[in-house]
Amino acid sequence: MATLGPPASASATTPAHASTLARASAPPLALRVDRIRCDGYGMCAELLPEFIVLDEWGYPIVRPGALPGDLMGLARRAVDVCPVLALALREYQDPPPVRRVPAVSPEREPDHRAIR
Amino acid sequence: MNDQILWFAARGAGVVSLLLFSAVTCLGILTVMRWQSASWPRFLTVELHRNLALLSVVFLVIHIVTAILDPFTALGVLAAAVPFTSSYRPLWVGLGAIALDLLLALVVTSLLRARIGQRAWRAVHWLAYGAWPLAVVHGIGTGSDTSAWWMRGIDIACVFAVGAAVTWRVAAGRSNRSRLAGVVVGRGPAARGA
Amino acid sequence: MTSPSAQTRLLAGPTLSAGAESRRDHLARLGPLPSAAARRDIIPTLEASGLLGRGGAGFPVGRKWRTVAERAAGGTVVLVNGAEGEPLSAKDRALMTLRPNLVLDGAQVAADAVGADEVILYVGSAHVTARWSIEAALAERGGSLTVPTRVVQAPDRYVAGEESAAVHFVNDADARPTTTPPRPFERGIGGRPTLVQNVESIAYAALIARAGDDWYRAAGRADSPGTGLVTVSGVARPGVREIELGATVGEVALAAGAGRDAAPAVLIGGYFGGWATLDEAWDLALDPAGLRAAGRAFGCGVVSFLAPDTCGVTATARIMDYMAGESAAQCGPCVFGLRAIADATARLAGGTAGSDDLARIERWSGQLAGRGACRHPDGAVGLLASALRVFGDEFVRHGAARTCTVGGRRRVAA
Repeated sequence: MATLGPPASASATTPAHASTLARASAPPLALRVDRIRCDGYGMCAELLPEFIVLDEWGYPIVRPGALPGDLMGLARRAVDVCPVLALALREYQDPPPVRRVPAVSPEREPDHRAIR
Repeated sequence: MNDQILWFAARGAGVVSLLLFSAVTCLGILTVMRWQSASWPRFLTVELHRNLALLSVVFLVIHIVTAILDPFTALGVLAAAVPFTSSYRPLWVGLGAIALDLLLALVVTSLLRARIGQRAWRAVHWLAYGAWPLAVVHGIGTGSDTSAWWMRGIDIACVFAVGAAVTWRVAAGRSNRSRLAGVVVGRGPAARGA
Repeated sequence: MTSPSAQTRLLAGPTLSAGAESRRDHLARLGPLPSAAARRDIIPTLEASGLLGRGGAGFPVGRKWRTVAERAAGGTVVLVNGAEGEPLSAKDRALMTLRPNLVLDGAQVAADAVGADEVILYVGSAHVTARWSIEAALAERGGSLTVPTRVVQAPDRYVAGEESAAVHFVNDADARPTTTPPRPFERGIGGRPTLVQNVESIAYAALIARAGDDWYRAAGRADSPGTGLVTVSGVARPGVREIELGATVGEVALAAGAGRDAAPAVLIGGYFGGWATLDEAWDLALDPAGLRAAGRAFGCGVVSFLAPDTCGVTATARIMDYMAGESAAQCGPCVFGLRAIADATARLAGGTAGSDDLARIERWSGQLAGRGACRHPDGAVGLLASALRVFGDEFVRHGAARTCTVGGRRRVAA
């Protein structure tokens, strides 16, 4: 399964950074998937692999966080290409606090070296 | 001489339009069938479908405008859009007019898809399966080149391509409308006393 | 320490075996509701009381009513949620059966407070006695509260009680959750802001409207005011009990006839909650805030003890299979992911697991949270994570060596 790498950093010398500065006052945007509409077409992941990968059933796993300026063009294209309008750009909001589940304690870590 | 140019333009643009619409219809089916290959990503199918659709509209406009301007046909603007109101080959031109009307609905709803919502857009988009055959029949019925060997070849190729795509889609069954349509959600082995 | 059932408020009144309390007895015991004007101004009192929602999310009731009341301009709707799709919970139907007038009073208070022009009583279709009781109580009031009131039967599905599913069913006869936003408090039944409130929370509002917020806080333990209903199972004396919030699992166990060695583990909060070993749970206070801080959930107040000599892996496999089967089948990750998890867990329980089934379950669990339209997959994987922690050794043994050691015997898992 593919893993999500860090986005390409926008260095101060690229034009993308300049346009990001110009839009600094605009609210940051994030990707949002309408999970009911999504039918696993997977085109979003093809266009924006930095932020979207597909699980083994073809449905998108979206990396949390706001989109950097240099990926906005591709993000809009991904939103546009979705045949069922399941992808959208929304104002980025900090995620709600996740209910903490007690972590797997080390001494109970399943031993994957199966004994036969 | 002028008239000849208009006539040739109308025929040529009509043929190109038919080829493009056939390709667009095939690409639309390939989209919903989620077709891809190692060198052809799925998003390419969607974007090509849309771009070729707009291109085919351009050629369609040329086809209609030159056909109207051609004095031989004596078509008014109205005849292009309102079916069966032309004096020149009313049946075949009329079918073309219907195809045009359906196509306009397709294009307008597609351009406004974000506004009208997915459900409305999809409902109208089914009209494509009505528009395309009408365009083919219109061409065969009123086309000046219908009997030419190359035109027959084009007609056969278009019908074959779209026919094959439609057959492929129908054969895929319910799972093609939505990936979850064919999935039955219920109890599994654990419920059966495992 | 007082017995956890020393303070009964919701279930105060005639003995529970007497059945539904009549309107006459209800009024004789509690007196009338305050005036309509007082009811309209109840929200600050509710907020001051600290009453938390009892449907599972534990959201402050006063604040929830305020968000709806703020949008009262075009009319609002109150939906009393008595679907109770959680199989281990019986408190809502107990309340509707035994104290229907309290529930109706609460609905009346809510309707006045949020400016509702309609009240829907959403009762699980399987809870026949509860529905008859509510319908009879409503008939005693002339078939309605001060605004049009009707009973709507919720389909017998787990997700039918989810708030957007409830609204969806009333609107379109489709009890499947919808994409939010907009949440029901913004746009719900008939497009109007809708207050979806659990039966127990609504009933408590009826008591607080009469007695005030100080009275509410007078019960309960230090940091957790009030009382609450729990459904206890897997014990000698199962059933619905009212406890002081903050009472421990141990106190509840003892009151229900279970001792310290009664069970290897206990499920707290229902299928949306999580497992704990009885040792770690014995002194655990049953109070929503405290449980959340400990990474657990009070949920709908289910306290279910695993029967001794029952394998935790098998019990978990059955729950996961149930949760997979109860998916609304709208979102790919839930449909495919939960089914894959359930099947793999079943294989582990049955001793037919592949060598990487355990690893795959963990991987899938990590992927599933937040990727459905509702929180159904989140709850399921949350429960599974707690099972992997509490029954970790058994899972490994089932997977690697295909043996089950529950009951002190080594045997081939079957």
